[in-house]
Amino acid sequence: MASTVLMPSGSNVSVKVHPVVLFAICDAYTRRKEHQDRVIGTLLGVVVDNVIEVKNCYVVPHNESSEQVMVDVVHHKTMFDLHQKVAPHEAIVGWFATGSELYNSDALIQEFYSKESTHPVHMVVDTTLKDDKFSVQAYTSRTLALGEKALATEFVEIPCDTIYGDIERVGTELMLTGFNDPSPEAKKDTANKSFSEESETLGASMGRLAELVARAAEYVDSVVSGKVAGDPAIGRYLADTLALVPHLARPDFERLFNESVQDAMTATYLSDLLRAHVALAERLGTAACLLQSAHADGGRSNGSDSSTGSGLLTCGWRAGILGLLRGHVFSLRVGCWALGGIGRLLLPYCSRLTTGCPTSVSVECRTAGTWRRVIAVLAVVRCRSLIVAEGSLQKGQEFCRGIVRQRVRGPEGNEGAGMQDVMVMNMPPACANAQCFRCMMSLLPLFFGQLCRGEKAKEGGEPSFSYVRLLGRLAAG
Amino acid sequence: MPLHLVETSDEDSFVSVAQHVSELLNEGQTRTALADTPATVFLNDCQNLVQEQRYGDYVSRMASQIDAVYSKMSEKEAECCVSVMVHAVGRVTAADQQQKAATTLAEALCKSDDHAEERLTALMSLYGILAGGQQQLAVLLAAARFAARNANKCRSAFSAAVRGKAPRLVSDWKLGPQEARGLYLALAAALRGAPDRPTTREHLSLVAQALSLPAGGDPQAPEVAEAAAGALADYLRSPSIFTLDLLPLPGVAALASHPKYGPLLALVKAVLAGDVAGTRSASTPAALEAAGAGVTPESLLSKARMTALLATCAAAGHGEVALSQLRQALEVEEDQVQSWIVRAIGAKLLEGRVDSVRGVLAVARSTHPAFGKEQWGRLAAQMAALKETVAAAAAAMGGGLSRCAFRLWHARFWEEQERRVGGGYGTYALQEGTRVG
Repeated sequence: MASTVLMPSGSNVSVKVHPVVLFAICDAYTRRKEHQDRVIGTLLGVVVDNVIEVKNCYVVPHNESSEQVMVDVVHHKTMFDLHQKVAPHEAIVGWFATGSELYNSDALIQEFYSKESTHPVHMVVDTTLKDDKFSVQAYTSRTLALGEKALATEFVEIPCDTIYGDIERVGTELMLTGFNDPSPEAKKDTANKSFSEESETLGASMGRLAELVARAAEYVDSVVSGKVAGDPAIGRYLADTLALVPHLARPDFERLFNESVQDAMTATYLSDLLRAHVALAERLGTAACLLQSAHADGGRSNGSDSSTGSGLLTCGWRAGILGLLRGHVFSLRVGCWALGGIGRLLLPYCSRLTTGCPTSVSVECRTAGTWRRVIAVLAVVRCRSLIVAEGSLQKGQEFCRGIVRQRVRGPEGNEGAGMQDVMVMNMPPACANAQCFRCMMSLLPLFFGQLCRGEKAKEGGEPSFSYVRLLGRLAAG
Repeated sequence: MPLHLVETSDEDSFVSVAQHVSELLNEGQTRTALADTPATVFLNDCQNLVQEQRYGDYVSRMASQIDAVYSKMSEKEAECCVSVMVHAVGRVTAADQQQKAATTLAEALCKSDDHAEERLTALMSLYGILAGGQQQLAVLLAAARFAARNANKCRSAFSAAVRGKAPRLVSDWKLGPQEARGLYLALAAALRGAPDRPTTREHLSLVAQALSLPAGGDPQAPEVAEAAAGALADYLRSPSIFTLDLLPLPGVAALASHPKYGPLLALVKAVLAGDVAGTRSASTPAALEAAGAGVTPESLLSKARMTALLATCAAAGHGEVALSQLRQALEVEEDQVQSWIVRAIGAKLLEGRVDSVRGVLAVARSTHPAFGKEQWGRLAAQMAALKETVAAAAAAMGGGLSRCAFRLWHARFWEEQERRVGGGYGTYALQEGTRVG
């Protein structure tokens, strides 16, 4: 780097290159045509104060011989226009060439680029790896002229550095940690990348901080004891840095720290516990539904009544136990009802509870009379136990209200069909959460109430039943 | 090499320049057809030299005409010619020849003081084109001397060029202490008396580095005294520099016995300690004269007051300072104390909050005017406290981890179970009419 050049007054220009540009240049060099010695192209970037930041580049085909040099200007202009569409703020800041030294034709090319931008930068990327070094040098130019006659162009080297954007830095570090590793061992629960991993990282950071502090303290101690002559600049810097650290007495700090650690641990524990119980509930619920017979559409169960009833009983019983375990009031209530034998009364109108694949649940229940509420609640509890994750209570509420309003009015074109009012509630993933179901539970009784009123208003006969098919879809993972 | 020349015309640039310069020689001469004018002689000489690649001699011939070049040619042309001369130096192959050529050109450039900026620029380019450390050092010293001589015009340019680079140069060129000190002092002399803050800081740091070197030289040497006095004067004069670490250095301490600069040192000590009364008494005419222009008793008093404020706040560390205490230290009226605090905060020397109800200033951060043994001791105590805190936090984290690890295992176990078994149940349930149990 140009540490040996003293800049003349005022022109403290320096160049910062993004790694993308260097990669592109090297790539272009490897793909060059056979007869070409080197590749040249245009550099795009922005100029801020005295720093030229080179962000992008593209190759311009050229042809040079000892007598003349030809550059494809049309290609250059077209490429620049295309780049402008994508990134309008990037301007031409100069040009690059591969190779280890300057050619005679560089002066002409520099002159061409001087028309495109003021003070173009010429970047030379050494692809021959001279001295085992990948060197990147940047030059500005000055024309030496006597009177009208231009004698020569002087290229003055300016400091050139590589800088990393934040995105590039994050991506590189992520790649280094093996995030993209497709091997099976690496397929750990990414969903479980929670406190434990974060605390490991935090622990490592703390270790590093402790090490740095120890090193600084060692230096300060040696200055105080007189072994080393202290540098006041370092001392001031350390003092200023320490002033940024908030000073807390030891017991205060410990209390603060412990409280926040415990909060974090509580949250993690609760969420993991919920997940575990969801899994448990699902298994229990699945087992329960297997004990019931499947019902054909419109039919009533006969032979399988007893088993269905007992299945419901079992379901209710287990729901009750779960409720006890979890302290969920609803489940407890349902469980008690089921225990009370209400289940048997539901036999003619039994529900067919099917459980599909773990990621989707469809519940069909035929409701009638006063038991609709119970069944609805059962259904919802059943579904709720299978849904996990955060979501937006507000969104859920709005969605549910909308459905209720719509369905009560009845689906279009189905007036008087009367028999089966199929309500499909497709839950958007954002809505699939425990909170949302809680709100749904509160709305569903209202919904069924409305439905039944509507049904009674229709012409007589047996109050029709309405299907409520709840389709909850979990977001993937 | 950091400077490259790419020819664009058919003629050799060296010859063209020689031709142009030779025309200068013709001025005032009557043209005679037959006799060889000095111009043609000159031109032929140069042409031959270029052809024979004896660039060293070419440079010496051209260097002799530099004054004429600057005075008679237009700026751009002069710049061009001199640049070509510089490149000619670069073309000299043998190292010692190059050194000689460089010295010749540098001397020629330094000979006169007109067009100082252009000459300095030329010296910079000459520095850039040379390859070796020794040669560059010589040129740099010459440039520094030239800049010091023409401080008004050249100081800002020179300081912009060399700022921050001195220690790096010393280590790159592996200079011994004597040479390093010489370099620092030369650079410092060039930067003396600057009005802007960065240059003054650079000046002070260069003097500090020069004087802190364990040089085998005599601390009473005149150039040391000059340099130290210059630094002290700059400190006093600058309205924005409030830190000074030079006092413990032997070269500066030796000023106490100096006839001319002794009072100056006493004055600086008073100002740095924030001793307002002491400053008043130390501002004797002798001291003011030694400090040079731009230093008045009023400015000294205000500087002393600001330093007193900073010193008191720095001593308090992270705590609180009573406003009454500040009023006493600053020796101002009570209502003016707050305005001083506001000024300090505005200049980013202090960070804190004033509680006028309780009459205290809660200090968050303060600049230390001097960083001596006392400050180091306090820093050591703070570092020890920080170390303890970090260790405690790390230990707490480790304990927390083990408590939580069991629960996580518990949760993970159930999930694993579900994953293994869940699929089977699902497919089973899809078959209608199956009865189990």
